[in-house]
Amino acid sequence: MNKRNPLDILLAVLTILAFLAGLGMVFFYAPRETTMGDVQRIFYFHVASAWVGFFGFFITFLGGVLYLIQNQRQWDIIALSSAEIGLGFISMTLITGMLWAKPIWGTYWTWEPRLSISAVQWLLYVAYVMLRESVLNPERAARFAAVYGIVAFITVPLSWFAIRWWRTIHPQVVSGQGMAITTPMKQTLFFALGTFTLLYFTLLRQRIQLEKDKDTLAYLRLQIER
Amino acid sequence: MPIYLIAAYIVFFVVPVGLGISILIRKRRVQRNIIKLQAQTANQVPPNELEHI
Repeated sequence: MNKRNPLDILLAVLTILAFLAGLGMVFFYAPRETTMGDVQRIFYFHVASAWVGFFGFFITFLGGVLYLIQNQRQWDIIALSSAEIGLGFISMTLITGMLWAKPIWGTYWTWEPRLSISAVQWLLYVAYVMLRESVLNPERAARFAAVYGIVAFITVPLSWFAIRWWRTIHPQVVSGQGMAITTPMKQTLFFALGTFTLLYFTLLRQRIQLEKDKDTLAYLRLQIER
Repeated sequence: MPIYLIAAYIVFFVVPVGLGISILIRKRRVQRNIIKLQAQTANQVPPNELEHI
């Protein structure tokens, strides 16, 4: 049981190397932005962590849909694991966004559309994770969480379009005219996106395994009770 | 200004590492309990159909 899977080790090593290379690109390859200065370097990992948060919630949405269709525990496990990891990344996005906002906007937080939706989204997924622990009947919890995960996903497209539909002070990097950054900045951003996606899958595999182990433990407890 | 940049990258480092450690600690705890119960029941663990995910 404690034997380490070679794929897990490979993924962990690749993730650490990619993370270090990403840091190198952020601090030594990407040029200093003229208006914001060095604090703009937060942007690369901030966007990457928001992407992984959104992607994690999408997998939760997909897992919920598949669970409701097929009623198979594996989809519930994937949905739950992905929600927990997505929540971690969205928390990181919120904190680092505030750290960027203070020197640029002069305040850590302002109730503009993108930030307000992000706050609601964060609360919704905190509730999702808490809810999983509070409902005692596992099948009922899974069904309820599937529906909840599908409904909560609406915050992802809302957050994406918030800076396009409404007046907002949040920067818009990707627009109809493409990306408003230089080529080395684009390369750094895409590398960070790849690194964080890899990090997501590394963590997801471990989290799924934890849930499978919990199932095994529950089965063994049932055996003892009988 | 660099203080915000440094603080942000500390967060970028601490959160994923913390998440990973939290998962590993919980996994270890569950696996220890499984081993204890297996010793008690001497039953085979059911074949896990989710093995290949």
